[in-house]
Amino acid sequence: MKRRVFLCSLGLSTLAVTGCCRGDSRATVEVPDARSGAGESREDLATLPKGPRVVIVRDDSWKSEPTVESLGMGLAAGIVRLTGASQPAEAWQSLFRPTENVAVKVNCLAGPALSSSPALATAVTKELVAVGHERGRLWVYDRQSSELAACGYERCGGGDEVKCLGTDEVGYDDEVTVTGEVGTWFSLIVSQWADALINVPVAKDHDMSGISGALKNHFGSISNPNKLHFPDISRAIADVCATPVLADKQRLVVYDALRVCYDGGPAFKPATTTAYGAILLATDAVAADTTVVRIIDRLRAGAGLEPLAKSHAPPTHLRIAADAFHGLGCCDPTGIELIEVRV
Amino acid sequence: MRSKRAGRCDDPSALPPGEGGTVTEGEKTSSSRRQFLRCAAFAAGGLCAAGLAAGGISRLGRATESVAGAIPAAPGPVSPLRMAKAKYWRPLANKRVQCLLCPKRCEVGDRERGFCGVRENREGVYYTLVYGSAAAARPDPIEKKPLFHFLPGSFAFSIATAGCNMNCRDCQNWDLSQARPEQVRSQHLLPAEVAKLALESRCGTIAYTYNEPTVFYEYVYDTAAEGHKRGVRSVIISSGYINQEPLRALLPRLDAVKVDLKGFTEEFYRRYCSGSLKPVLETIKTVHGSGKWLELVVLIVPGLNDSETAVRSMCKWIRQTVGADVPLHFSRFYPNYQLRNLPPTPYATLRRCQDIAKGLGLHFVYLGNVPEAPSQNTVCPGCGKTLVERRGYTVTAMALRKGSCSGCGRRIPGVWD
Repeated sequence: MKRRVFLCSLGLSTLAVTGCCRGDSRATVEVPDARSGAGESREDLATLPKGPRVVIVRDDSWKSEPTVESLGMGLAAGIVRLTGASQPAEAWQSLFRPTENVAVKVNCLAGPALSSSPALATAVTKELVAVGHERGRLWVYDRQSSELAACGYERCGGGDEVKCLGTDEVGYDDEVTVTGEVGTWFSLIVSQWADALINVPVAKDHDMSGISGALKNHFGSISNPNKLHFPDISRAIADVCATPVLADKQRLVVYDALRVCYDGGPAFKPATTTAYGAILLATDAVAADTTVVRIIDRLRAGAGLEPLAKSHAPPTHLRIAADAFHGLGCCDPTGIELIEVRV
Repeated sequence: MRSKRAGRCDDPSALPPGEGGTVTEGEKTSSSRRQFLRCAAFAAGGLCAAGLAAGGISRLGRATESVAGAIPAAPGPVSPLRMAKAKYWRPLANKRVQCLLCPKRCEVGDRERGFCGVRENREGVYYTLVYGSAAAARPDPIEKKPLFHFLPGSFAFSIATAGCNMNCRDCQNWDLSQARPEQVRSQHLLPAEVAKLALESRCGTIAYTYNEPTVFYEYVYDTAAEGHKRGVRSVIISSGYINQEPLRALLPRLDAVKVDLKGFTEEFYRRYCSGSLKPVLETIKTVHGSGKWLELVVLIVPGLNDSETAVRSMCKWIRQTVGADVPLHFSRFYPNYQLRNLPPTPYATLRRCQDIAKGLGLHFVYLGNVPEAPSQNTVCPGCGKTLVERRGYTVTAMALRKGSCSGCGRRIPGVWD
């Protein structure tokens, strides 16, 4: 089946499944006309620096009022340092072709107070558009459109615009993917639509996995995260992220650390959530998570709390993700090149 | 790291003989997830047009009883998630809760769900998300459950929701059991409405089935009471993976329990079901001790739970613990879900299991998913007379007289009227 035919049928089945209770208020999901660049060689793209690198971009104004514009400037500065390119356009193009479908995974589980900032997601897509990406080839997603809306994301069904829809409107794979010992179904946005992924997690504590960061964020790309929280969430996180449908597509992590929750997550806990005013960029999700663990530990120490590694929920999934079997990145803080940028 | 995508079962020869799908309680082997959803949408739309708009679902009668293809969803529109406070949980520190409904005893953080996927912690209070959300609602022959000694030839109004507290690699109903409530089409059907629909559909029984009723415990609990008010009985089709306290509280509202005994080793339960055997055995003992009608089903999976040792141990345990009169069904496995790489259970394997069980003195041993076999008939253990003759799900002849053999007068255990 041709991609477009498939996606058209996807739109129809989506309406059949979900449209019944929604009346006519929801538009059919439109899909781009042109074929994407999936499967094309990326050999001509700029060579990224070897070794894990994490760029922390800070702006004090982000602690109070992060704007799309200021975040865009921060992203531009950060992506240049991350990739070693001379210009933002060159940097973005070293990661994404303009003809590729790029899905941006945000995290809206905790509501508007502790979710991926819509301003940050918008800044990401604007940056891509600014370097020549078609808007219709960008899709901001999470599990459900209602969760996105609750966090301030404006629903958009597509056309020439950046899509912003939850997986609940398009569905999950037909076929089960076995990850480790557990079967799961991936979002069709990830498995069928996207050529590349940008992961926009929130820097927050998690009461089972230590942090709910870049790796854990993809529990929102599958149908049955509940089945993977028990009995061994650490292994499950690593297994899911090592699945080719994710591992082969994820190119960039843009961490939302505008606010950081250092205890009591993943739900919003005002007493342990602080304005941090930073974003982190990395191509290595494990390195990004490892860096955020350090940030959270520093905040925990300030509050008299033990480090995550000694808490009831140590982030052991990072070590598993970094092992030779999973090979997802670097969890050794001494092996990660940290670059701080102030804008 | 390697992941594998289970291939689809497109080979018609892999399907069981007869009605185009497996003939177990879960009856869809070859349909994909999307086919299921399309079918659900179609069924829902059609039924909705037929009756729901007129204010009822009175057309939902036996005419809808089709055994081919996917499980039709309940008629009517998708319901938004409705939260009702759950039973059997306790609060923990930091707004965490511990579920006490099943042996998993999930500890669940704020905004998270338990393993079942249908119970959610909101601000330190545990809620069920499937109360009154029927993802399937239709009459089925009671033989399909299977319950062979409980009102044979009758129909059970069968309801299900999303979710399961286990993850059996051979699940026949994974579209429902592994889904979260927001991923399946459901209809809002309150307990009293279910009981009313059962009566309208001429069903004397409500069956809680397809997915694990434990996960929609509160719905079962209230619906069974509503049914009894109207003279409609209730049966659950369960894995038996439930804690004793909620089980004991529910049993007075039930009339029969079918327990799926997945295997007879802890290793099998751990590795292939994400569960454990011991609580299931406790459930079987408790149900039997309560006097409620009990039948057991074992899905025999080739190479995994079909060893002579395991089958013999299981049958001995059954004989010693609940007696020879509890019906035991050995059911044929067909490739599905995460075990599509295995072949269907050879008929000879099922016969061997049956021989072992009978050799150990069990009186009523049936073979399921093999409609061509004569081993679905109920035979008097005293004189050998065939008392209930079945073809597929249909009872074709009955020779019981007030619950006794019409040949020798021996009392046959069961619920016959």
